[in-house]
Amino acid sequence: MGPAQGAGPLLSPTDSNVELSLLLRRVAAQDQSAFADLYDQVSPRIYGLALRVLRNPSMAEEVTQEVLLQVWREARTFDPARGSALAWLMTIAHRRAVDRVRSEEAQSARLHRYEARQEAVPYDSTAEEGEMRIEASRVRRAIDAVGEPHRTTLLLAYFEGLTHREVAERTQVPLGTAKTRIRDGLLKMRTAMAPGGEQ
Amino acid sequence: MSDDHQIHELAAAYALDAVDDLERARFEAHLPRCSRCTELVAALREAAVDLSSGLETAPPPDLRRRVLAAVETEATPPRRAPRRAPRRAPRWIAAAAAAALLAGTWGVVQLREGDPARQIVSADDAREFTASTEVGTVEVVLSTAHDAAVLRLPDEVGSPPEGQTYQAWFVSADGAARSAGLIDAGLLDDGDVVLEGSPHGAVAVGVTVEPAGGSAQPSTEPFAVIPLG
Repeated sequence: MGPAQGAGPLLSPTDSNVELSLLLRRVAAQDQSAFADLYDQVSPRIYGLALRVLRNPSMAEEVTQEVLLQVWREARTFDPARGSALAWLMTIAHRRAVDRVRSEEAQSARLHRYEARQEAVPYDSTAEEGEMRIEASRVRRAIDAVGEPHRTTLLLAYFEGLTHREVAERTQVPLGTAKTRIRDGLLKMRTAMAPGGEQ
Repeated sequence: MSDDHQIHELAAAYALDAVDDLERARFEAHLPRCSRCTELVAALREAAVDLSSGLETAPPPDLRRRVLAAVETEATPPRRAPRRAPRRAPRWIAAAAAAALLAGTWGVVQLREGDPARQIVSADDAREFTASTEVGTVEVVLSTAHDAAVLRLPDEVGSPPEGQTYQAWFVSADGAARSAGLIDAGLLDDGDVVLEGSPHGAVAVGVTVEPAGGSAQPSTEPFAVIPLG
């Protein structure tokens, strides 16, 4: 198999997922050139997410490296029957980024920062900041289509790494409500993003 | 059961990593037994993928070289070289420690020669702690009088992958992890493994997969964490 297959990040999600699946299968067989291709295709996406969650380039770089090494070691556990390649990759990436941001925050008097932030900033402006970076219009539309209060809930959980408990505190709703909003927000997003759904 | 009912409700938060470590461990123990949650989590993760779209940023060029070099090193058969630098104690340790801290601390202990598992398990002061994990119910039995603990892994836990070993850890309230010994395939057959060292001061026992020969500090996420309280 040749080296780079000329895949840019602009492939349609379906094409790119098929291609990623094939690459992952080769990576699972410990094919290093396939891994290099995979790196080129997905590292901007992983690094971009890590950067957004951690807001620190060197930590984002470390997390990106950890994620990709985990992908190398665990590619054989990817099962296309259970989900898309991109979902598999970004699940690993998000979890690593969130784990890291929480451990950093735990180490640096998390509560203090949290309280200070809470006083100084109304709860939804961090979410807005997250939203501002999400320029890609398709996703932007999908997130907008989700509508409040689900949108803020999703952004707080996904980009701030808050647990559902913390989301509930931050948005001052009961615990059950936060959980429901996360679920309904994601389901609405899925509907909005589905082919023929919104566009 | 209300507990069962509540666990289903964690599916969405779990799919978005919006759970704490203990919720995550509980939910992962539940997942293999619940096809509804498994399907929901998969569907919600597909939806969540789109949240990371539009943020693409090229990482520093140097990262590519380092990642590919690291992979090349891993792909080369190791000659007993350490696979990677020890990391700081993972976050699960702190969470397990925090959870168990509430449950009280250890009493006075008395040193004795290492006793076989049976003596510990049948000691008058033996206490059992269990945790549901992704590999089934894992149990720790400890005896303060014997100053020792026994780990019981379910049969579902097969041999560790080639070139790797299971390693147990005593975790103290401040989050420090101390090796409680390697668990090799031979020991697994017996079911009960006497942990190395004193459980004194430990608030949890964790089990990780480590490179053969073990590690000084946990280098992977544990597949089982048993809070001692």
